[in-house]
Amino acid sequence: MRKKHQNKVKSELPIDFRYNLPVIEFTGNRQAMVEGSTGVLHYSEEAVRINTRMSVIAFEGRGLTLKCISPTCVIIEGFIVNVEFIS
Amino acid sequence: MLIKLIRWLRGYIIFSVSGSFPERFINLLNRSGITYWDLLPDGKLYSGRMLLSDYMKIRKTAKKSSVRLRCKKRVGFPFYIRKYRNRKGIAVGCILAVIVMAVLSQFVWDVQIKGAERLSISKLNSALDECGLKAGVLKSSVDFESVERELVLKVPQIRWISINALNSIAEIEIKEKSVKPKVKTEKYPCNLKASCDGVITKTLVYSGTCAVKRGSAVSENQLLVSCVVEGTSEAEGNLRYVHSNGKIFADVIENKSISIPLENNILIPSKNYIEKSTLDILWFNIPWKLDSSPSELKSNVFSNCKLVANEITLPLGVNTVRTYDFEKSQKKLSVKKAKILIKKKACLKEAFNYGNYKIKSKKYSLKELNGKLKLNAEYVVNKNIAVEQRVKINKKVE
Repeated sequence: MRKKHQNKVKSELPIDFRYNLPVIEFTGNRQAMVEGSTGVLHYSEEAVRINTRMSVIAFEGRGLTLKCISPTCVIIEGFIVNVEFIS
Repeated sequence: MLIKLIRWLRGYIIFSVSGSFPERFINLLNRSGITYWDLLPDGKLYSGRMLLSDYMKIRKTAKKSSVRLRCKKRVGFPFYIRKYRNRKGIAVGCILAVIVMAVLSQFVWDVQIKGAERLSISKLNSALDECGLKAGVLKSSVDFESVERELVLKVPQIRWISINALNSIAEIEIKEKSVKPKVKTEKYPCNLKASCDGVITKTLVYSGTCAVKRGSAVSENQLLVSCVVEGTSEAEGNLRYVHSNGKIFADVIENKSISIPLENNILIPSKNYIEKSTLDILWFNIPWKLDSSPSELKSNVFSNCKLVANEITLPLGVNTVRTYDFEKSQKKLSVKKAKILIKKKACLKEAFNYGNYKIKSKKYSLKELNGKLKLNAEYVVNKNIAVEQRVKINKKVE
C-alpha cells in the first residue's frame, strides 16, 4: 500500500525531477544551457562533452566556448551543429 | 562595467593551463568554488582569467590534476601600484590630497547672491556676515534656516529668501519686495505760491482753485493755487478748504556764477607706491609684503583677486592694498584752458540743477578778476515754481 502511494507521488513529479535527468535549454543553435552537469570531460573549439548523472552529452560545432561554468550548470556558446547523448 | 572595475581594483591574472587532462582541473576549480572567466581553448592549452586572491589558492589543485599553470599577464590596481612602491611621496601626496579635499569640503568657500536688483550686494554680505554666514565658515556650524529668518528681519526689503548649500558654495536666492508708490496723504489746507518771478506757461492743478492763467506774469510769493474751493453739496456749505496740489510751470530767469583760480595747488599721485599683499586661504590672511605708509597724503587702492575654476570661486586669493603717495604742486592754467574747464563745469552744474527742467536759453559772460576766471550765466528755465504755503484756519477740514 505504501509503495503504491510512493509510486503515485513519483508519477505526479516532473520527469526531470523523477529520473534525475539533466535539463538542456537551447537558444537557436547559438547557445545551450545544461543544468545538472557533473563536470566537463572535453573542451575544445570543435567539441564540448559534458558529463551528467544519466549520460555524457557531446556538443559539436564551431567556435564553441564555455561562457559560464558552475558545479551544476554549464553554458555553451558558439555555432552548435550536433548534439549527441552517449550512454 | 562595475564588475570590470571591481576585478581591476582587486587585480586579476591571465593564466594558461596545459597538461594531459586540463578538464579535470576545470572541474576541481568548480567544485572548490573558485571563479574564473574568459576560459578559452587555445590549441592544447586553455587560457582564462582569475582573481589574484584565487590564483594563490589553486596551486594544490593544479598539482592534483597534474597540469602546468602559467601566469601570462598581471592586470589590475595591486600590480599598477607595485610599480610605484619605491616612490612613497606619490602615495603620501595622494593621501594628503584626499585629506585636504575632505577637510576643505566641510567649509563654505564662497557666498553667491542671486536676485538682488535694488539691494546692494555689499550690504547683504555684511548682513550675512553678522548672521554668521561668510566664506571660510564651517558648514556644519551654520544653521541655514535660522540665517534665512535673521536676514529677512535684518533686511526688510527681502520678500523671500532661500539658502542652498551646493557643495562648498552657499547660493543665496533673493526676491525683493516691490516698492510702494508714494501717496500724498496730507490733508491740511494750503495754498500754492510762486517761489520766484516768472511767466506762466503751463498749469496742472489737481486740487484747489487756480488763481493764475497761462501767459500771466507772476512775482515771488504770489498766490498761484488757492485752497478755497466752492462746496458741491449743502452739507459742505458754500466754501471748503482743501490741500492744494498741482504744478505751475513758468519761464524763470536765473543767474549763476562759477569761478576757478588760474593758479592751483594740486595733489599729484607720485609714481612710487607701497604694496601690501596678503594671501587669503579660507579665513586665513597671510601677509607676504609689509611696509609702512609713506606720508599723510595718500590714497589706498584695494584689489582682491580670487582663484576661479569652472565658474567656482576657490578659497584661495590675494588681497592687495596699494598706497600711493601724493605730491603737492602748483599748476598754472592758461586762459584758453580755463575757459574750456569753466564751461565744462557750468554744463555739469546745469545737468545737476536743471536736469528735470527745460533750459530755453542761456548766456555766458566770462571775466578775469584777481587771478580768477569768473563765468556769469543767465538762464531762462521752464520749471515748476509752485511751493506749498500752509493756511491756518479755525474750522474743521474734510
